[in-house]
Amino acid sequence: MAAHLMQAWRYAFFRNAVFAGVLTALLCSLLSVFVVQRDLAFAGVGIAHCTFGGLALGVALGLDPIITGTVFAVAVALGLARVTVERSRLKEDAAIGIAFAASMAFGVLVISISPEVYYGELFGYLFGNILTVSSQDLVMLALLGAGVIGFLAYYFKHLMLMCVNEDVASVLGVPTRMLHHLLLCAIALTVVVTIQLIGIVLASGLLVIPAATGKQITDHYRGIILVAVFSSVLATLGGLGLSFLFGWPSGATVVLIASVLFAVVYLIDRIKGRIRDPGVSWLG
Amino acid sequence: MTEKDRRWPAEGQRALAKAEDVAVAFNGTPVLEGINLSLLSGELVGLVGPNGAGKTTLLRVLAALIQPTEGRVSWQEADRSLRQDSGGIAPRRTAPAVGYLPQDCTKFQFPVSAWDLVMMGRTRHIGAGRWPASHDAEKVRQALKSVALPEDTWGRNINKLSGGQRRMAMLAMLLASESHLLLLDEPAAALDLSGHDRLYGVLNDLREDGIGIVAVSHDLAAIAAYADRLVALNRRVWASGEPEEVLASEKILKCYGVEAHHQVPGSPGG
Repeated sequence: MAAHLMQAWRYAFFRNAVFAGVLTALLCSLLSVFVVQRDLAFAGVGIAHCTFGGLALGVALGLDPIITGTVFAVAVALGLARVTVERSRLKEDAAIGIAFAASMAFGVLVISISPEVYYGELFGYLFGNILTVSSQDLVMLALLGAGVIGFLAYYFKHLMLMCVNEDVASVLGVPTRMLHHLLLCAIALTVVVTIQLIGIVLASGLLVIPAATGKQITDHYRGIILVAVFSSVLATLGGLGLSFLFGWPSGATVVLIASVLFAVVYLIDRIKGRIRDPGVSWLG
Repeated sequence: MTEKDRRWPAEGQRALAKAEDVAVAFNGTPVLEGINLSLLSGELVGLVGPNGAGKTTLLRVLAALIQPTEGRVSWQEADRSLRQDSGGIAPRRTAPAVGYLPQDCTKFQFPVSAWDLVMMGRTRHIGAGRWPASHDAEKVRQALKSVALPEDTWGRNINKLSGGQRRMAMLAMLLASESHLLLLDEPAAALDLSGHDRLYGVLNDLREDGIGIVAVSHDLAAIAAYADRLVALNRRVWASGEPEEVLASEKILKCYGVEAHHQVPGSPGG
């Protein structure tokens, strides 16, 4: 098995996939800490699915679908940020639900009325294929990763304070509105890149599962970040290896391994909790 | 505007914030009307009134979290010491040096230690993209000691502390922020008797250091014992002045919407 993987390492497409996977895992796991703490999990799902409308439009018009998808994702992220900060009658989850459905419906309509559309390309975006990442994609991913990680590092304390209490953060001089908009844009850009690797359907998984796993193990933010990064890199490398060895779809394998890691730590935490606090049920 | 609010600051006192003819309405429903209030340094103002009187809304207006529908609020600008603390670079947004303690501040989704929480109070001084310096750590240590939070709790997850300890940690966070004006929404809630005494002891020390404080309270007797001034609010200011004077006034009964034969707790004979 190891010899098989060593052999695979000689191929540029496999090395690109590994580098892209590790970068995406790093990016998604760092963002996931704020996605989970700020209850943005559904926003991540919504932005990922909204991107489908933009991708379909790009394919139908013969434009670069990644550019039209990015425009859609960022527009949806900014719209959601506005709904949140304005505290309008429309709740954030309702707004996401509407944008999600409308964008998917728009995508399906565009495909159905465009006879020239090659469905295979769009299907690829739904489930992704990390093994098709080119060197050019890798450079774009590295640039985006540097931008998003730079943003998170620069405003780390501010974002943490916003997670503790947004009003207190605002009074202490944190530009909460701007940072909320930027955080959603960072999620949107990360989603677009992740879509190429693991697809629209699974992209939100890497934005939620790593931090959720970390929260089960530790009750300190530093521990959560470490566990999130470690578990998502492990899931990505493990998923890529299994995908290469057994011919399984890479995106699905990565997300399944991340989910299994979460399930294992969740069960361990539950069992430990029962041992610590057996409650009346054990006593009958 | 009442006579008390028109007064010129006493010697050594300075106006930290001023609300002029402030009105707030939510979806056309008036919540505050014609509020005129000056908040001075070294003064503890007790903000009292029945439920739904607009006390939290007024605090949020004074904290610049809500824009008034009418009127204006002005703050003393962040002073030179703040700029010096931030390494000679003024914060991008010249925020009023105000600290705000919300009512629902004892449940934390984000898993931080008490130390980290109090360090967050230094955000205005540290700025973005920089790490805390040794003098920031010293301020955090002083703040935690001021609220008498035991040293063995400093590194613990804030959610593992008692409700009272969490509230004191939040207060320590405001102390570390070195704000000139503290806006506290029911700071004594969830505190036991000793916590209550410690809280007002800390507020008293802050007042002596020239910090202006506004504290919302439903415990009229307690707030009257410590405050320099009581402001009775129910959509508008019904009474403002020395605590004894306000509590003895018929206006406090009207503010609470109770009959004259009732006694408001904390008022003489109440």
